[in-house]
Amino acid sequence: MKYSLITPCKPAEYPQLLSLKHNLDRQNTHDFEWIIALNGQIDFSQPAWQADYTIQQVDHTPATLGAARNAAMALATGDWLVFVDSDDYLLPNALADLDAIDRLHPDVLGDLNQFPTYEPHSSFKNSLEQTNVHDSLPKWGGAKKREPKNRSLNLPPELFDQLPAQIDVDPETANWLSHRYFYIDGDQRWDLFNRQLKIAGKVINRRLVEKHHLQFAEDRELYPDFHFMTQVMSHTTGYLRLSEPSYIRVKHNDPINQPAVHQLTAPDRWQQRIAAWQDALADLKDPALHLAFGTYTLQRLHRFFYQALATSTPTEVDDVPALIKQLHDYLQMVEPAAFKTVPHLSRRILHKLRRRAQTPQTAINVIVRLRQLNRVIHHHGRGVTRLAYGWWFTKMPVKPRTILYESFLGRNFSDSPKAIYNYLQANYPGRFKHVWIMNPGVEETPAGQPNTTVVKRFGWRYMYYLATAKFQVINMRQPKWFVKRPGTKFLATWHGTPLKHLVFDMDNVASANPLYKEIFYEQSRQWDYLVTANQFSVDVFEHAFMYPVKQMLPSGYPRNDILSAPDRDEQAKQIKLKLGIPLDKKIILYAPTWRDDDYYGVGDYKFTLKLDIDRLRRELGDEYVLVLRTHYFITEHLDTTGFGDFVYNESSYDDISELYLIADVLITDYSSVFFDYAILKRPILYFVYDYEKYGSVLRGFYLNMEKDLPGPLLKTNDDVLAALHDLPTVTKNYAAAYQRFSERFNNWEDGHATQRVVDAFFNEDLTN
Amino acid sequence: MQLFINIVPQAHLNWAALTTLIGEINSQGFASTQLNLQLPADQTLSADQASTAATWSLMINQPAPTSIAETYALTLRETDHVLPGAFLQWEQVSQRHPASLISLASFAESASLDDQMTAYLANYSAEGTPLNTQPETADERWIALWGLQSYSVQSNLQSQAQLAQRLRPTGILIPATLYDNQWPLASLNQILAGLQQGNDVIRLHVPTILTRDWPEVTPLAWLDELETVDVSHLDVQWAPIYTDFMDHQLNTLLGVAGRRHVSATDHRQLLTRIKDLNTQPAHWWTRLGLLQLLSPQMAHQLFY
Repeated sequence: MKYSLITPCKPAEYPQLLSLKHNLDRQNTHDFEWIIALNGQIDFSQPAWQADYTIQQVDHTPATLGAARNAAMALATGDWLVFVDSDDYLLPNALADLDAIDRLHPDVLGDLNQFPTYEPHSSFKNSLEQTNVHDSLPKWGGAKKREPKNRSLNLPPELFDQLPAQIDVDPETANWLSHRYFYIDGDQRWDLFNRQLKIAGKVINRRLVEKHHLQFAEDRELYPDFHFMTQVMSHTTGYLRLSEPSYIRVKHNDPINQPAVHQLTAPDRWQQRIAAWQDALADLKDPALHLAFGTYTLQRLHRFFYQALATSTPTEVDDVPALIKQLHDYLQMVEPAAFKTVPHLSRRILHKLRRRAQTPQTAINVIVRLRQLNRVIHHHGRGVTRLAYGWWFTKMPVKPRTILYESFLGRNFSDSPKAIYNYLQANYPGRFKHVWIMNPGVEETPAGQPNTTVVKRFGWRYMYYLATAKFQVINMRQPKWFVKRPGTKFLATWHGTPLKHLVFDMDNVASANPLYKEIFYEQSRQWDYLVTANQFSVDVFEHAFMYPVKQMLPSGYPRNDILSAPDRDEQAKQIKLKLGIPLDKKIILYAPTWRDDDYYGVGDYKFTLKLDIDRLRRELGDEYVLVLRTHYFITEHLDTTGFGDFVYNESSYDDISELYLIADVLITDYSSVFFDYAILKRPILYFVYDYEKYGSVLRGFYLNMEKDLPGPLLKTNDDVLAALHDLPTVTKNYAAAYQRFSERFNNWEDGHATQRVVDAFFNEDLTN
Repeated sequence: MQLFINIVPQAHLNWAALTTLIGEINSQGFASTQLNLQLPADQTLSADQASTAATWSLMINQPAPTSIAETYALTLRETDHVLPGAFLQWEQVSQRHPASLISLASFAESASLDDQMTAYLANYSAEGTPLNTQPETADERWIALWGLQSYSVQSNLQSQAQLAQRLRPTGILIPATLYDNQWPLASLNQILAGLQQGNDVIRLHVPTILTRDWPEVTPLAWLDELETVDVSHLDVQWAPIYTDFMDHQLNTLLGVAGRRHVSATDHRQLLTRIKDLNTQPAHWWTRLGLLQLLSPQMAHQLFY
């Protein structure tokens, strides 16, 4: 047996094992056994577990990662131990490539070459099946600047026949040309120390492990590898890594529900880490390795430790004095030469800690702030207002009657924040100071209205009010560095009934920001209340945002009050006049969603209107006008001049509710606009010309587009025209569906949502 | 992998150079290679040459590969060279990316190959490899060069900075799946068609061929080639990219030709033709911009 694959696994991670099994089945060599350390029973008689290599399972006590690996190693019979975590996977050639390398002697530490990604095996397997490219890798999940650009090229032995003269090529070189790897020993041995230290994807000779009785730490919840790996390093003479990545390390983008070991919340994490370092360093006899490990640990302290202890940032460290004492003891063990490898300020702090077991708090705060300042300088001053926010504005007193509003990240004066603002201005004039966040260039702003200030997003005044306003009313997300100060109240109005899967309901997609779920979770914990439009939204937000139901306001959307207002017809008339639309014409509102796969190149989006406007004008121009509402990227590229007074391009119009109000019929597709429009009980048509193509997207919807909609799905212009010509029939055919839809989504919308939200959120602040 | 090598004479066919090139190709030991000589209309082979060509299995004026599966077409000039081991390296890359254009790095034909190889190797570290990047013998140099070989998958097809190494008639391996038979094999239009259809270009980093620059050696032919592209027939997003490329290439032509690589007559002809193009230069302070303000005669006196 050549290889023994060692996989520790927690019972909850069992489904991952099957995925890894499918992956191992695809290995080009099956000269291996797979040993799974799992406290639980695997039914190997199941077809899914059949394989032409041996699979064994072993229990372990205690239930720690270290004990799991030890138990699996004890069963291993292969020449080489290969450490594969249950959520990771291998490329098909990984073991065969390793097998072909002559240089992998028993005293060499092997490495399959980790490649970090957020793409799980199932997704990568699918993309592999759709391509004929033979060197595919999943989407890179590491730091952008470290993404490997160059791929090495193995060359066949026949190449030597091409040499102008026959020479004896050194066998090692010949083998290397056909099977590229990176190998270091001697003086270079401790280069890439960090990579050598990581256990996942390492290949270690089993007899070497047995001979030196090497074991993982069994009593540690975290960091069981340091002692084992440093001992392996001390008993090997070289480090060999495959040139091409072969070990795919899947990073977790949902640390709330599926944390990786390094993402587990542990207030004593630093204590455990330093204790593991102590154990490892104490047993290192080789001076060069001793120095290299000491240097590595000081670099980790330099990079991460100060941030954890700075008073300007939230600290999650337990029992700081004990930690400092522990660190003081550890630093006595570190070679003095290692201190020279860290920058001056950091070195001073570490020297202080080495001399006395006392926190040099001022020096730590200074270094953290200097790093923040350095970042701003590096970005040519960008972020200086944010620095002022963190350093000064958040220390200023909270202004008890100031409300900060933001709608769609400052892009317009609209949505529920606008409705709340208007309501407070009308019913509580002079009671509050209102501050609106607006981007430069927005045409309609509340500037000039009483007690109202407009501030530029990310400007100085924005930072000041963000830190000092008692109330925040925001319809998307606040910045991730926002500090929720005691005594302030945050109202998240959100911006629509969810149609597409949100946050925690989304797949582990490679394209999403890997930190998205974690950041969203932290941000939503700062919300005091979340406005909801219907019971459906309450249910979705509970799992999609993991947000407590008791903090949701079952109010309906303030922005939709206008649609139920008693004077809505008069308002509609005024809006038509404002837009210059003849009062005797009916209005078709066309609001398609933006297809983000439909573009020519960066910043150059395609938009060919699939709706046949010319035909619409020919057949309906006497009775109707068409109002277009599309994505703003498209607005800039759309030329509607050829359609005369039939088309009104209102894509830049601030408040879409006002467009609903004037529209007699809505044509849309996969956009959530129809939830709100349905309050008006007017006909809705779905022009889904690319419905089949959209299949994979539709699977990520909360609604069944075939069954749940209050209008017909129309795939051609003929269908759309036919429906427009006979709207009464559409209305009649969909009356029951419309009724069901309204009861499900709009039965809270009675025109008084704003009042309910204001009363609940501001409460005694309205009168005291 | 089957190779269709299309040889285009640089000017009047240099038979000696062609003989050398074919020798280099044959010494690659690659069975599935088709050779084609694309002779200009005003040139013919002598009887002896035709007889030798037949022994080489050299086709004359065959417009495209005769077989399709796994075929790559490559255009070279007869003055170009193929380095030892080149085909095997191309084959390894083509097996991994069978449907992509492969752009080949090249040494310059104008300087000593040994010097270029030595300088190239000296720029790279051999850490972690058994390679010797300061070799003493030619054979060791070849091994070191092969050892450094790598490639990258480049999806930034419209990057102006890298367009010059992709948009050229010679030195690009075109897979049959991207071949567009409405354009000559040795043409910018052919490469542009491939770029417009493809998702990426594979760049083989270490040189495997020895070539001469078109703008430097045959500026008028390069200008002809640049002019054959009709921007109005390109995809919407490629039209401005090509216009910028053209602007850049015209400036390069003016710069290179001004260094007396061409005769005074050719230089004047080049200036007149470029001036007649009436292109709007991106920058007025470039040679192309200045040319718009001057007569070709005056520009000739200033630039040559």
